[in-house]
Amino acid sequence: MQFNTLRLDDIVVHRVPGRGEPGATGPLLSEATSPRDPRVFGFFRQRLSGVMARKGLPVEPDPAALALDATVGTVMTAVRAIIDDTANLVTASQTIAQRLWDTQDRRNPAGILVVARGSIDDLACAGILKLEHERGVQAEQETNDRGQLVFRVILHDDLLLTDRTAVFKGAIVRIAGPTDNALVSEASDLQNLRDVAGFFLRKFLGCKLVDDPPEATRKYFEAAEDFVNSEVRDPEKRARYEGALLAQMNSAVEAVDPDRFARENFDADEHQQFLDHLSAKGASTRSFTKDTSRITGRIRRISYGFRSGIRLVGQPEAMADHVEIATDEAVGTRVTITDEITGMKGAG
Amino acid sequence: MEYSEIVMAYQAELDAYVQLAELARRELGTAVREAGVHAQAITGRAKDPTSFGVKACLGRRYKDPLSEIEDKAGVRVVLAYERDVRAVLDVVRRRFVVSSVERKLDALDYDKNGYLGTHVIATLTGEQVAGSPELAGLRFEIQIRTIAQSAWAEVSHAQLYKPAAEVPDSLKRRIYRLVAVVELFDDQVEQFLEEAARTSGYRESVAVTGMDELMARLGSTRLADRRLTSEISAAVVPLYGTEPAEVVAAVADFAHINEDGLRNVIREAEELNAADINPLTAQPELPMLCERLENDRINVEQAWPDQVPFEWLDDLAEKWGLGRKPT
Repeated sequence: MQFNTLRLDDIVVHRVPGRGEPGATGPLLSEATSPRDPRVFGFFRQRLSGVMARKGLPVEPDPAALALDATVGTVMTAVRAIIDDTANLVTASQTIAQRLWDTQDRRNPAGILVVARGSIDDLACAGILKLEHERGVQAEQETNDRGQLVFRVILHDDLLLTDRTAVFKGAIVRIAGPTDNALVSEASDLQNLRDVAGFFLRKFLGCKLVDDPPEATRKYFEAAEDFVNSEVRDPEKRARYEGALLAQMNSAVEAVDPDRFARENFDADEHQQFLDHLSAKGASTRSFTKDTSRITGRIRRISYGFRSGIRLVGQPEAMADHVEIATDEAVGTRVTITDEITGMKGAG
Repeated sequence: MEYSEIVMAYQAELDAYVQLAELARRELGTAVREAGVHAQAITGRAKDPTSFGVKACLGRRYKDPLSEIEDKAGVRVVLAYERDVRAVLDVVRRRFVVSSVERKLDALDYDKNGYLGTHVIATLTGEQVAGSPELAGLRFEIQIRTIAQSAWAEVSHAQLYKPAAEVPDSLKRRIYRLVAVVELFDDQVEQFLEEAARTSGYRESVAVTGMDELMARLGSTRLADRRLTSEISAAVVPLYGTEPAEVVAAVADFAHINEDGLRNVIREAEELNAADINPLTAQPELPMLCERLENDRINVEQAWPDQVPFEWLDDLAEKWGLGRKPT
């Protein structure tokens, strides 16, 4: 999805209190669409596209979950109704807000839920954005001139300064093409990446990731390693980048953020090249939950192969501590191992 | 031929010359635009029958005025700079079949003042007249002028030729003395451009300023801030590693491909109060920044000028659907 083409034509704002909130018995539902305020619409569009661009992952309805519990299809059914006819927006968004309330537990804080109808890539779409503890945004209950309850959204005076650490959960669903009415969906969750596969994605949206974390991790690792081996010429850099990649795979951090990884480990000129390479290889350039179960055997040790046939194998940490690789114009690649020999033996 | 015969004969051909002038104007307008030259105005006209008749009869200079008078259809191009006159002349030579070029200054003795400008006599190419064979071989005149030359020509024409009474020579001399000022003006501007081009950041800034028209086409009506353009272009244009003119072409290609997204971002900014917009969304460098964010983000972030808030760039990245920089 090209997020810069996202347009929100109509939005409905509901308030979903926390389960532990005194007196809370369900969501506070708007009965009409919000008045068109360019600041508010622009803010929601930007935040929805922004969060999706960084954390959005392709998702699809989960038939297994649906088979166990028919209610998990509630949100996607409502989304379909919104996409099919904008007249359904208010009632369908109420259904979605109710579903959010039903699936949340006491750990989920209060927030406002924005359900929108618009377009992306010039195709009809629906957007869902949940904001929690947003310092720059308030929703005030009021009655419109037709006597309907609505929430008026009040934004911080300076939109550029509006708290960017706010917590969002988001999803965009659009039709597949001008003549293809199937739905294409992406969902994100900044609060807790693992949670994408949990409450928000599975229980609330009734979906699952198109690429599960082991598959997404495998694709990423293979594409990243391919980049290092095919696009990076300098042996010293190749060794450094491969070491960084294995360190990333072996670290305790639960998420992979390719952009952050490239920023922290690659030279500036290779940053975009790396992301483009990931895209070309079908790997995610956005953050995803790391699960190395499918590549366990390939990330424990680092292996350097040489033209002479010599192969140098070791654990990434030991390589980083004891092996130095440099380019020497006179001799080619100079590899220096600073260590103590503890044994020698012939090999087959 | 007498006056009335000449006028009637010309009137019989007038429709063709009206058509010729319009076709030549359109062709030249497209060619000038494609060459990246900004013309202040390109106009076309067929000569008025009365004016043609008078020209044909005055002084009895023409044996066959219908074939000898070559400006029955005319196109006029007015340009800001003398250097653009040369560029447009090149365009004309490539686009049309040129039979003569007259640079009026060259025809003047060194101690004489007079009308400055460049006149070209040309015909359309076979391809250009494919849909209108009756225009084949018909000549038209192209006048290429700077703004200063045009101003002098307009004023002198109005004051020296239009009044019913003859103006005394002493007064005429005053008008003709001004031609020297026109020549001096254009020379000074050329010198300025040459020296400015050697000034750091100037060429980059000029390249970006040329993107104004693109922004207008995409729906932007807000006024850009030139200081911001200067700061940003000096930092970002060099990232392309090519000549500024090539940057403009690359950005135009990007804008063409991403027109929906750019229109979306601009439309959203247009709906907001000035106090609420990200100032970058009103700048001519907006498409360039979106292009760099999409294709070379880390370098544009690193090159970002200290004087311009980084938050504006990060906010633009989010507006452009790329998300903010990881924190």
